Amino acid sequence: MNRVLWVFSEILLGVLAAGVMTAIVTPLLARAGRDPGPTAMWLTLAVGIVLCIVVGERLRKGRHRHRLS
Amino acid sequence: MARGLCVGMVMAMFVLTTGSRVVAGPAPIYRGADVKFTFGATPNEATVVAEGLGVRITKHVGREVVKIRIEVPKDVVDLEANAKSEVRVSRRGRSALISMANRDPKMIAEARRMTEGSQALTSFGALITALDSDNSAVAMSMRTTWALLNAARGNDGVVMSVARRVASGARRGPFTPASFASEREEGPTACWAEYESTINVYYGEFSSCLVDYGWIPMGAQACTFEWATKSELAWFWLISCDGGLPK
Repeated sequence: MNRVLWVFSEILLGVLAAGVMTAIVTPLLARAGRDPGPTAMWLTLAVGIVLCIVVGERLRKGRHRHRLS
Repeated sequence: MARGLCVGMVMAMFVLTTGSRVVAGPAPIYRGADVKFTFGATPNEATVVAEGLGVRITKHVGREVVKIRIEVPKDVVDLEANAKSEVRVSRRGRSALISMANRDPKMIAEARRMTEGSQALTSFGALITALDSDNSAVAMSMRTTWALLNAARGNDGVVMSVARRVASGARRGPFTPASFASEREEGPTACWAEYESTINVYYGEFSSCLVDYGWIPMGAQACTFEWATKSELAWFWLISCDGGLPK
């Protein structure tokens, strides 16, 4: 159960992080005269979720090892 | 666990605040092929800059006075309108003050002579033509500027044309974003365009907030919090609006 909650939190955080990333990057690209286009949304979403899962899993394993030692 | 979470939140806030302070600034919005709009605002004045086709139009809208500068590399025309219905047209050190309530033919003729052969106004006219299909508020603002300028020069045809356009727009009902103009016009591209313009506006507001309130202790953090909340809401709106990958 804990594991499921943990992964769910990672995904939720990933979605939020992707929102912040897009909100920063989009105006900067517009200022440089580029439009990232609608595909950027899915790309950022995927990158955000994957990043948060990778970092979250590392944290979880680290905590697990810390408890065992 | 709770301590780690708190540290993480503080770190994220710090990174966002410092990073965003560096990158924040008025972000331009592109309309049509060649016209770029940049917005700015202070508590007493709103500014819009339109650039395209070699001309730059800067419009400062205050409570009592509207100042407009139309410039190309070797020509500048200034226009100043106030709440007393007076318009001042200036070019090359000469100026004409026209009261729009009782338009003095001599002053109108003077304004026309002054602006005759102006490259800035020719380019402004071309820019207005380029914005013809754009019904956004900022394009309408440029058209009213063009109408005011022509009214000061005694050319009422342009004024009537803009007035007809405004009236026909009013008959259609209130302004709605392009993506919601028809029932199922939503799609990845329309949703993205809506999101992009919204997020650009939020970014501009964030920049102004940092300039106005960033000096207050915790002011920058409050601006960041406001911007992050609005951006996240826009982001969730985009996810719900999108409806799939672009085809």
